[in-house]
Amino acid sequence: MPATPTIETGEPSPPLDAAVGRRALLRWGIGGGLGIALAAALRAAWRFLMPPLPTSRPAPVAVPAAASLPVGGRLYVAEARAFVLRDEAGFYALSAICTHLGCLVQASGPGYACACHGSRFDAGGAPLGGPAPRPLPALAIAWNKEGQLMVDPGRSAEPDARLRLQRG
Amino acid sequence: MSGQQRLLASGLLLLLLTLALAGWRASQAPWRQWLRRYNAAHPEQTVPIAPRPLTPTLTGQTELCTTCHLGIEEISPSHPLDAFGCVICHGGDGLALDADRAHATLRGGRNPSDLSVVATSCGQANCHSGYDATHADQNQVERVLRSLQATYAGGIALVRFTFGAQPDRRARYAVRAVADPNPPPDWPMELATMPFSAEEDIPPTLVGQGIAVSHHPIDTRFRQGCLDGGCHLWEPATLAPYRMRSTGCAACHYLYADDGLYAGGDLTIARDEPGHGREHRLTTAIPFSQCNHCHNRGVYSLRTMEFHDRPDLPPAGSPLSEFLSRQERRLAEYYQPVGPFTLCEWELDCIDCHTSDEAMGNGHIAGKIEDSRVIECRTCHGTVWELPQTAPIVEEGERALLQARLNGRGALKVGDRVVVTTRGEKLWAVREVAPGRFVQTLKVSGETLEVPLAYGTNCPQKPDEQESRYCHACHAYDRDRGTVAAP
Amino acid sequence: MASQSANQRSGESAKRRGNESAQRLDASFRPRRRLWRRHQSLLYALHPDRLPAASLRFTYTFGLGGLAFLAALIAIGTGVLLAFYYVPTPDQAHASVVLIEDVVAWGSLVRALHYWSAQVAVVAATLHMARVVFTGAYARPRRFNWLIGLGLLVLLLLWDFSGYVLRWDEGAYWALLVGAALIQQIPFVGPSLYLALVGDTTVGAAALLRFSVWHIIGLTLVVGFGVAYHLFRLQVDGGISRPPRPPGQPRLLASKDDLIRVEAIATLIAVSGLIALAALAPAPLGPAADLTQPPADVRAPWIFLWVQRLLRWIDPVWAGVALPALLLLFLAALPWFDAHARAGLWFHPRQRAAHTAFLLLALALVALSLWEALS
Repeated sequence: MPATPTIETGEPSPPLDAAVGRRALLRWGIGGGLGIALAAALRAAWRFLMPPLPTSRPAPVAVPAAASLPVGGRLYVAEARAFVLRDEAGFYALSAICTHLGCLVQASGPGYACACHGSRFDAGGAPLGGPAPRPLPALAIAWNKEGQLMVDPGRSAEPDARLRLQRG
Repeated sequence: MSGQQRLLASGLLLLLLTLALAGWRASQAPWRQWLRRYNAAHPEQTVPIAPRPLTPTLTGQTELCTTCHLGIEEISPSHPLDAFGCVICHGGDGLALDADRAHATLRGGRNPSDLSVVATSCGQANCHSGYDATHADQNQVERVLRSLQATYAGGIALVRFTFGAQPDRRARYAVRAVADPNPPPDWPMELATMPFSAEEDIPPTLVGQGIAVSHHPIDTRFRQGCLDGGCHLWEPATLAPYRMRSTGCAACHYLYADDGLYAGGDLTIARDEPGHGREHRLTTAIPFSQCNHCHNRGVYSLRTMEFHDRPDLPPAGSPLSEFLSRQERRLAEYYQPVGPFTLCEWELDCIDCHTSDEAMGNGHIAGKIEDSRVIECRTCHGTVWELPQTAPIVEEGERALLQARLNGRGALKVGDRVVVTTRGEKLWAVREVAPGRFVQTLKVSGETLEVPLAYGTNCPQKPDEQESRYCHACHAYDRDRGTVAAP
Repeated sequence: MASQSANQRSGESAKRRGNESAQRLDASFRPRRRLWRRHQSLLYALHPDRLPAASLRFTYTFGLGGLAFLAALIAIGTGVLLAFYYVPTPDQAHASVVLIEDVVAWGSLVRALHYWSAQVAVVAATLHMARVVFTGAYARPRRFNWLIGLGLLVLLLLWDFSGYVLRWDEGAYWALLVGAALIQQIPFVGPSLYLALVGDTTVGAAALLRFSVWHIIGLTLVVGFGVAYHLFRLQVDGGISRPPRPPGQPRLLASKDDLIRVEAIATLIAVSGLIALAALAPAPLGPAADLTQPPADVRAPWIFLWVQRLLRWIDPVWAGVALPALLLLFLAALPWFDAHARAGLWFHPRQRAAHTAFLLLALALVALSLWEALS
């Protein structure tokens, strides 16, 4: 009678869970590798969408007829999106971009109001009501060589700074 | 047919009906209706019902304005449609065929020469503004903005002085602030905006513009009674017959009929709606009737701050008969019933004497009427001892030559001598045709008149009494007798 | 004999296919002319063999999902036509839309059809979602498909918003500005997300170009795949949900032909309705965007009116980002919360809590939108 084949081993056969462990290791390895590759691809795609070139800053804008702005007067300079004002101490400029979400404010009485979500500001740009969190920033202004008043929308200034009228 | 098949068939029918509806609605577009109306009015020269593109050479941008405004008059020979188009002056959206969309961005509404927008329309580069000092007379935009008809500076100063709001009659304020960087000696450098009496009088739209508050009661009263009523070029006049006019440049150069009705060829302009010019045309040949839409219409009362129309003229009085000849009408409308005047002051149109610098300003801020008014009797008639002062036309492109060509009546060429004012402005229409002989060409009718001279006559004038009131002493027209005392 | 058995077999298989000609396999059989060849028709192959007759009843589903799908298809078709004239640069965008609207032959109708079919798609999709909630049709095993559908709704809203921006009229520009500013406020990812969407530090030409690419191609592809999967998943999950069959009643089946016929009728009626709407009401267009003047018309597009109302009171991160995200999360989790739902009847008492919550939310959004619209 043929003998039932038996496994003759000196040592016990490798346990089943170790074989499973190798499979699991392989699975994790491949999965992990694929995951890393996918993550790399996604990151590459994300970087593709990021604009690569720096954009230009807004340029200074000339204010027409600034010298004839009366004391207590206010002028909206559309190209600079700013209001140029004059008090006894001199000229100053306030940005017209609402500090809430970026709409342009309109002159409303002595102050300003933003029609988008109802923010209101006083004559100096401080928020009076509505959702705007911060005051309207003051913008840098200066006289240029030709004697024109220039507003720089890209640079801010101290809120109390005033520019005196240039003579001559 | 089964139920479902019936549904299918009615669905198809419904689809066809809605497509028909869509087609019908498209055919009802307003611009198509205007073209159909044009074709009905001009059966001998119909046009296809399609957008009418126009690409003016100055802008290169196609415009479709003449689709609806087919038949409108060309604004002037100096502004041909092929070169200018419509959008360059009027603004608006040239590609839109929907009226609201096309007109939403018009400059100044119907009138691009309104003083609030004139700098961006008439005053565009190389047009009526932006010239240097040698051609300062072509900066018509600045001239008009600083002229008395726009600033009312003298009137404001006089009223405020009369009521004690200012210590003298020196002009300080204007309807809108103006500035002049290079004024002649003793002329104003700038005028501020007319003040209000109190802080609370300032309307919301004018807050924050630095308009002064004078705390004198006359200012707000004067503003409300007179300035807001339109005694200057910034405001339209009342919508009454014989008084209708536009604002800005168009106030003079865009002629209105007495009834203010449009009589031109553009079907979109209602012909029964008062308040439109007679035709869509600009002209420099401005008849007296246009000036009289503001001038010679009555008196204002300083006490009540009201304007009282003359009781003998419309709108207060009966309508001027259409059988009145031009001369009779001119006489009926002339000045106040009390003032004396000479024959030429009502036989000629206003612009036959009053020059461009007088009416539109010379570029500097006039503070009173004496600053603007330069013409005198002796400018054309001379004195007993002297012929009228003349100056030659020196070069092509000279101002007087351009004015003559623009008007088109009476030939003028380099070398001709024309009469000149004390400020050096040449009157192109009064020419010395032969030594000692002067002929005037009327600017509106084109008639020529021989100018009678005082030279060598026995007129008892004095050299330092040359104002018109001295001439009126003998030469005044007698209304009752219908004669002149001395020829 | 063989032919008879062959007849029987074909008859059985015909019955199995639910083919109506199965009834006619008798001596009086007359072949009918068909409008399509079944075995070579893509349309035919995409439809299920047979489906429960109850699913076809109009008052059960109101055909809302199908209407949304049809409206989206019409929007894509008209969109292709519009793309022949539209130019996605800031100085030409509005002018090209005016050209389409006023000058191009039938341009106004095509644009109106595009606009109305898009809005109808959004409304129909939202109502379809409500129907699914109210009939408990998101019960297992359809919970994953519910998420797909929710994603499709979000994509539809983004599609609608990006199309609105392309007009580059006053309302569109300021809506884009505010929306981008909101994105920037999101903590951590906000600034990079803003750059990815806007393509520049300020909203301008780059933003318009990117939005036009998203609107015309990007979102179309994603929605296309999403819809394909949504419909496939629907079939796999057992078809359109329907009320449970009372025991003892025979299964009533409708054939592929019935379904296609119903779809044809519904399509004809819906297309007629859309064309009529487009003919009677032109698509809106405001004045061209002027970036230097404050906006005269400040109304957000109607789908975001409720956000605009909230932005007046609440911090932008909450009003513009967190609350909508929470709303979305609530809707996504609804099938798991509403664990006792079982697809079937309208307004089953088992689902009272879920339905009440959903209705209250819907009413709140509608009320906020109306308030903003009327103020």
